[in-house]
Amino acid sequence: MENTRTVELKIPSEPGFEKMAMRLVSEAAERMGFTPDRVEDLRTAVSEACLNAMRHGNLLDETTKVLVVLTIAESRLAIDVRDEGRGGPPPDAVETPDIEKQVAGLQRPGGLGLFVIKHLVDEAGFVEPEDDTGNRFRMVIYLEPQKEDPC
Amino acid sequence: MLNNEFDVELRRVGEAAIIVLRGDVNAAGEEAMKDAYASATDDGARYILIDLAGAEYINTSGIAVLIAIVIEAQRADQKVLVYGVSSHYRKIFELVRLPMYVEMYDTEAEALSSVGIDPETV
Repeated sequence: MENTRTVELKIPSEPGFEKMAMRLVSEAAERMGFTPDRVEDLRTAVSEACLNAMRHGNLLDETTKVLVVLTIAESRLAIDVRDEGRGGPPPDAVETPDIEKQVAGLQRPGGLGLFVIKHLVDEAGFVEPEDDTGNRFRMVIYLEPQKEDPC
Repeated sequence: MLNNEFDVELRRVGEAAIIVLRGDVNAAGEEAMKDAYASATDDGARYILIDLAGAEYINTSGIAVLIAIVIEAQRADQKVLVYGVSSHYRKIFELVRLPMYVEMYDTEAEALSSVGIDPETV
């Protein structure tokens, strides 16, 4: 089994604090040898996951926390973002945002976060929390890219 | 607390309004961005140029504000152009297909030239 290390960061549900998670993940990913482009992708993915946890998982209640757990292995970096589940269970599926409908005024602008995350990391999705509380969103990025760059 | 200072500057160059965004482009800047766009529209601008060269951090809430401005601009028969976007954020914009509605340029001079305004006159 691959040797792993974990690093944890707990931040308040207040937009702006996601930047602490971005810095932490940058530091880890740079040390692991990810390219600057992949580090940028990861920073954005972590930022969006934290903001989703703050807004949808914790309803921006500043007494709640978002827990960010990095699991560092030789070939991959996994990031779990956990909220307290105040906003209920996570969505079953990520809908592709329809910018045509948004520009036509048929859909409110937004809903882009999960869609963007899924294109920036190798694996992303909600997983069952071990203690059955809150929501747990897991992202994994491998040192060797696992899929084609969508752009 | 951890947000970079957000600043909006509005300039007029002929029929173009240039909205310069600096700092963090996110939900916190929504009102200021929409106010700048409304002022540009009230002033009769046909072209809305958005300068993102000084935008250090753009999240999807900020992109949603840009989409909201594009919606208003389409209704007002204005053209929206964006310039100064880093390669990373250009990739994100392409992911959400923003370039279907917004023309993207590297520099202000290129954006102005594309709408027939001589950048030398600025």
